[in-house]
Amino acid sequence: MRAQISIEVALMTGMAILVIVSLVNIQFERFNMARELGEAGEARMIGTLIAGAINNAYANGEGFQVYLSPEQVNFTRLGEVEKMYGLGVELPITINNTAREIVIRRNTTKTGGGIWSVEVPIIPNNVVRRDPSAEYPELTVRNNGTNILIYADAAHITTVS
Amino acid sequence: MKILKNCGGQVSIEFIILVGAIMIMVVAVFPYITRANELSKAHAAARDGATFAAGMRGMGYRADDVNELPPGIVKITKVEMVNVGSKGNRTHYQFNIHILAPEYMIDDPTCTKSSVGVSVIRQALKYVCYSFYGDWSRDECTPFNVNTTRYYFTATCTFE
Repeated sequence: MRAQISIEVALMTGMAILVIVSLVNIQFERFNMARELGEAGEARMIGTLIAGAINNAYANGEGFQVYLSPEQVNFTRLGEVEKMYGLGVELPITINNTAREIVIRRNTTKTGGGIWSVEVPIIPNNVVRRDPSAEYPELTVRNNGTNILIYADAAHITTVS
Repeated sequence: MKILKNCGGQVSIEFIILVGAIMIMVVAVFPYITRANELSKAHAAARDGATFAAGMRGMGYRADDVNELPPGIVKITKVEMVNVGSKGNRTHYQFNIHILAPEYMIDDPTCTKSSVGVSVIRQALKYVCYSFYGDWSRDECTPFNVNTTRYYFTATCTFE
């Protein structure tokens, strides 16, 4: 009788394990999906934030400048792929002057998505990157009357014509 | 004492018969449960993948080899799993994904050729692949189908 019960228990346990194991993958998928969508939204918001600064500097004319602090745009956090706090954005972020857009590329290969990119439109087509300085720390956007200058490390932001 | 002994023996025989019957039932039903579980898992995964792609597309994201589109509201209204016959020794199931997207995002009226449709189908099948293998890219999985021991999954879509 004891043997009879233990066989039944083994069968039931087997079934339970089967169901649980199949649910684990679904659970991971859903976790990854929620994380990816959240990070993707945040990454796009960063693009919108930079685009807003560029457009403001352009619209307000010579001498106008906007400073985006590390609390607003944290490149370490942006570029981090593995850790939970990271956004998985491929750096440098590209500002395409010809297409008048900021291109944000996200590496989602760990969740099967490959490289996904999003383009945030900007108004000016004369954005030029400069190395940050004590006077203009990263990430400052300034209108010098001729161009829109964006002070950022070359590893963080690049401009193409 | 004698009566008690007899009674104990009677109960244990009944119990053995009952447990035996339950065991036979469990063993008989086990393969069906396994298959139903696999199909339900695949269906849930396809829905998750399609929803993920719709969310990403909605935000304006796109894969490298897919056309750029403006952001907009993309919704997955229904994901049906239809048995469409067999492929070799596997049962062929097709996911019919119904997508609701604004006109300006529909770059081809044939859903399976449109940028949104391609993203949704690919991602749905990737999630199905992961649900079976715990891996996003396997030889058994292509952008157009997923092979498992018992099933062959494909996906198609329609705009609503």
